[in-house]
Amino acid sequence: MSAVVGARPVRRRRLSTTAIVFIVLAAVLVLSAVLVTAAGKPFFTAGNLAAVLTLMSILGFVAIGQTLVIIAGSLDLSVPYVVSTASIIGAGVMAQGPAGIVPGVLAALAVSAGIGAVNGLIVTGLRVHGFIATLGVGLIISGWLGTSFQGSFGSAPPEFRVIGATLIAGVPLSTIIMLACAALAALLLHRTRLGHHLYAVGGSASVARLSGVRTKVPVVVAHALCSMLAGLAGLLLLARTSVGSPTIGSQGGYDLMSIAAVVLGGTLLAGGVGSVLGTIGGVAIFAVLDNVMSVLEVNPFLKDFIRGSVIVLAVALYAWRSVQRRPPRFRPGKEAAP
Amino acid sequence: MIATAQRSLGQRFLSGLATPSGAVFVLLVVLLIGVIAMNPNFAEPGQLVRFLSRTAPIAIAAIGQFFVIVSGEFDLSMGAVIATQVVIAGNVIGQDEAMILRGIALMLAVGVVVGVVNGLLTTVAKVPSFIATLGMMLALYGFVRFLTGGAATGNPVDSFREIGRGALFGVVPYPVLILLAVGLLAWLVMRAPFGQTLLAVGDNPVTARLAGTRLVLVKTSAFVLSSLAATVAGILLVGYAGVHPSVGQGYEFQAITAVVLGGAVLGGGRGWVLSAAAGAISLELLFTLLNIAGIDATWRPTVQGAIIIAAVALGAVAWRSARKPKPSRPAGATGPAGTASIPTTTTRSGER
Amino acid sequence: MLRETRELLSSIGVPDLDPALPVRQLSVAEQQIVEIAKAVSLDAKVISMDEPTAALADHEVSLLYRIVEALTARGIAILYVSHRLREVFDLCSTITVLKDGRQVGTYPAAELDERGLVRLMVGRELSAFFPDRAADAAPGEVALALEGAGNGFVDDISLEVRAGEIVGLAGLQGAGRTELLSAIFGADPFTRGSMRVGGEALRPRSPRHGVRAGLALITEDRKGQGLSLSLTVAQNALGVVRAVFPGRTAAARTELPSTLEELALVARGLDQEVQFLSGGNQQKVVLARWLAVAPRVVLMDEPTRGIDVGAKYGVYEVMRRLTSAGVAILMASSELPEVLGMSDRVLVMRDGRLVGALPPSASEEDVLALAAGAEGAEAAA
Repeated sequence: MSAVVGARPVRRRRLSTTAIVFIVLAAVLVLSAVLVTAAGKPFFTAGNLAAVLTLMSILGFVAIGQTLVIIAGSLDLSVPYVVSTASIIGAGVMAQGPAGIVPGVLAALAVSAGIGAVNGLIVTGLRVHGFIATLGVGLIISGWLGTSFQGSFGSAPPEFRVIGATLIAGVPLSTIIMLACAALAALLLHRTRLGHHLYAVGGSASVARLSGVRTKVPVVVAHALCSMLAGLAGLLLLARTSVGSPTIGSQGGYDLMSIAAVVLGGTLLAGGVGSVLGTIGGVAIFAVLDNVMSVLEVNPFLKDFIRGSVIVLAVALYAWRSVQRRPPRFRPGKEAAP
Repeated sequence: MIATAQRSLGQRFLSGLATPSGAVFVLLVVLLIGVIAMNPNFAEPGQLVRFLSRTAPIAIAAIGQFFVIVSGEFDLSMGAVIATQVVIAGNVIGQDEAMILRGIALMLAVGVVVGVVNGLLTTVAKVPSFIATLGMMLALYGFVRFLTGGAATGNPVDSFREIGRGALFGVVPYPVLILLAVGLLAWLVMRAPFGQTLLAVGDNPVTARLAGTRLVLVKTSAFVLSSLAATVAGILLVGYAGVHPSVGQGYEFQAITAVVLGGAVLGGGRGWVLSAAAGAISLELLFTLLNIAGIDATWRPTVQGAIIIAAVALGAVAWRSARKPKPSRPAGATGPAGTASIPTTTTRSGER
Repeated sequence: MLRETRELLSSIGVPDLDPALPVRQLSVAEQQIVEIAKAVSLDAKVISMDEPTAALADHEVSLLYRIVEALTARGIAILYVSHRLREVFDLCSTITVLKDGRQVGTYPAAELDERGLVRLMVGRELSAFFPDRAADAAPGEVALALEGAGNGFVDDISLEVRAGEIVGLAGLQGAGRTELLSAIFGADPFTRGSMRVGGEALRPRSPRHGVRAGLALITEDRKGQGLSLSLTVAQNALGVVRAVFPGRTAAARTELPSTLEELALVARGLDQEVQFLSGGNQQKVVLARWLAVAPRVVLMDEPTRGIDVGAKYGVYEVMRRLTSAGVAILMASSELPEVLGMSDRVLVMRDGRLVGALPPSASEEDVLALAAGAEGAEAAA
């Protein structure tokens, strides 16, 4: 036996991708501080940090959910329409006044979760690629939204709008809720059987199946949770804008931007590898970039150009260092290893 | 032995229709009959040709997207390329007839550059094409809106716009001729060794590399073909839509829908290029049908969403059964509780 | 979790496998053990093993034997699927033969011998396992020569293969046979030393470069690296020509039916997808892919892995036909009878280096001793 399980070369510990994400974030922060200060404006003020954290919250919710779905090996392009739907339903129910807040939230989340479950069932039951299934469901909802609602709809009572305006110790309440959701999602991924199964299914569905994992359940649950989080994002947007809007999700471009943030956070688009913490890092990078460009009054249209370049460069960096190489047995010019 | 009696053309035709790439033609005919039944005027040659002329840009875009999808990738930058080309046409050509040829040359060059960058990011930098082309999309849209300020700008000279809205001898619209030419060219490309190698790359890149395929060259060429198709679509769109940075928006998803409706499988290796064009035309026919039936245009996305899911769900079943030999092998059913199975391949030996 | 895993591994007789290691870093044999441990941990009453030794070298097989015996002693039933007849007789108490998806029969192992089993599997009597060498065969010019070649995985390789010759490459799992073949082919290029193909100095930088120089590589992983599974027989068979010599496609297409006829391919037609073919017929398509470019040197890695006895014989016949046409073959194989039965010379590798050459008259024990680095083995070579 010892011949088989022999000594193996000790591999150097490499920085995890999540660590790299936060190094990139730190670099972006430093660079931003320098640029902003050079322009003669303050960067690390309470107000500006709150602005960055607020920017993070909405995309954060969507990206946390997207992380779960992508780890499971799928994808969710329907999130913008779920965001809009939740804002419409919430505003519709809450239009009756403060008594509508709880039913409104519950209804919006229930409908969102239902849409996610449908996504998951189409992916697993009908074996439709996640890209197509969620693109299709998103289109179906957008047709309904576009037909049934023109302009804003319903309204949120002031008691609900407070959520969008409250700061706790300088941190916006919505960001705190978002971070709490992130912590819960991380717990789910790392401390529960379902979480382990999500990684297993995303890594290789056939291996997971042969190992006795019910491969459909984790995918459906991931989609349902993703849509629920998108629903939460919609409700928080409602708290800020105070009226439901059928286009608020698609205007935000949350489908592609959340996927970009997840990948920027080091999660593998192919599934099976990734973390919520990395995603939060990815979202923060976007938020800092956006904030700096607003403070510096960069032409808004150049923002997209810079965002696009940052995404591609960062992902190229991860791809470059994660190329799996077997450690060589022989090195040129040296006496061979055993 | 190989079944020596080669099946007759008729048999092969029928079994071809049973695959998703064939079935889309059945769908097309059914929709056409449906439209004509509800609006007999549509059967007039003039009406039909005008309809085909309207669908030419999206059909051409779908053909371009097909090359990328069949090689196992996505091109999300397509709509942004169209917008870029439209803005270039407006700004470079403007009201100067002498600039038309130079303008077109510049547009084609931009198309090639975008495709090459997409391809190299995907193959050399190993960025997933979804992300690489998404980045390209953001960059191009940002650039275009920066140039135009987000509003409509000057239209190019009318003789250039004739390409998109004129007709040969006043009878056959140029877009239809261009669509036919692009379709023929695409068909030839897919039959040629390059096209077959592209299919092999989409099916299994490791096998393809070990067969001596230059993956970087082949995949990059697919991205170039895609952005060139977007360029052609852009030239046609300037003709009747004019210059606005939002022209072309959403074309990438429309084109992917059409390709998938045409039976191509996301992930690569399967599909027929003309079915992608047929998918695009079917989609437009469906919208026409809704229109005639008096259904609000706002419902279009809903119908599109439902049909794309249905097509892929049915296609998944059809591809599995279409070419499978008759004596069905025992399915890899999971054993009863208390059994476990150890598969032969414990590793994916894709280390190199 | 680690402690439980260690207990589990001890219970199947492998206490010294570190449960904290990522599976990717394990050898194939160790990965196989993890698979078995996984099955045991689920409290399986029946464990089915499909070709569990396909990727193992001989001395690793004996470890598997011990584990299987430990499992049966615990009252677990084993369904053992294998192409290796010796294992079947060593391990099994009852043998079931399947052919073309049907059950041919089930017999107590004691009532069968190898000959009888082969007859049941093939449906006819096989006169010999290996076709005879052509009587007048004399090796020709040197077709492939390496001199002190090496890269990250193999080192100081010097060898010659002559036209019309089959050179066997033996060694334990991990000895570097696959790595040597892919280095020669250009998939993991040599970084030092020299290489000549047909007298011309040339060190392929890529598979494409290798193919253009007249090399062919038949990989050990047929489905993962050898074929495009959802493409048709014709598309696969023409795959290499189209990728590297597109100008020769038309001629290759004309020749294809007769090539496939010679290979005795059983398929519904040229437009059948190769994923629906049996392993043996898939391997024939792989051969057809490379025959279409008329290579001078064919590198074969486990050319008969996972294919049935009848198809194996077919592959051997193709190899003989190629050599009589002047092709040089370098064949890596874990099946010692195959290496000794087919080769004109046998080279043995250990730890990424060539450690000796043996004549085909050598015994399996000689090869093993050299491959495992036993005392005095090198002197014997």
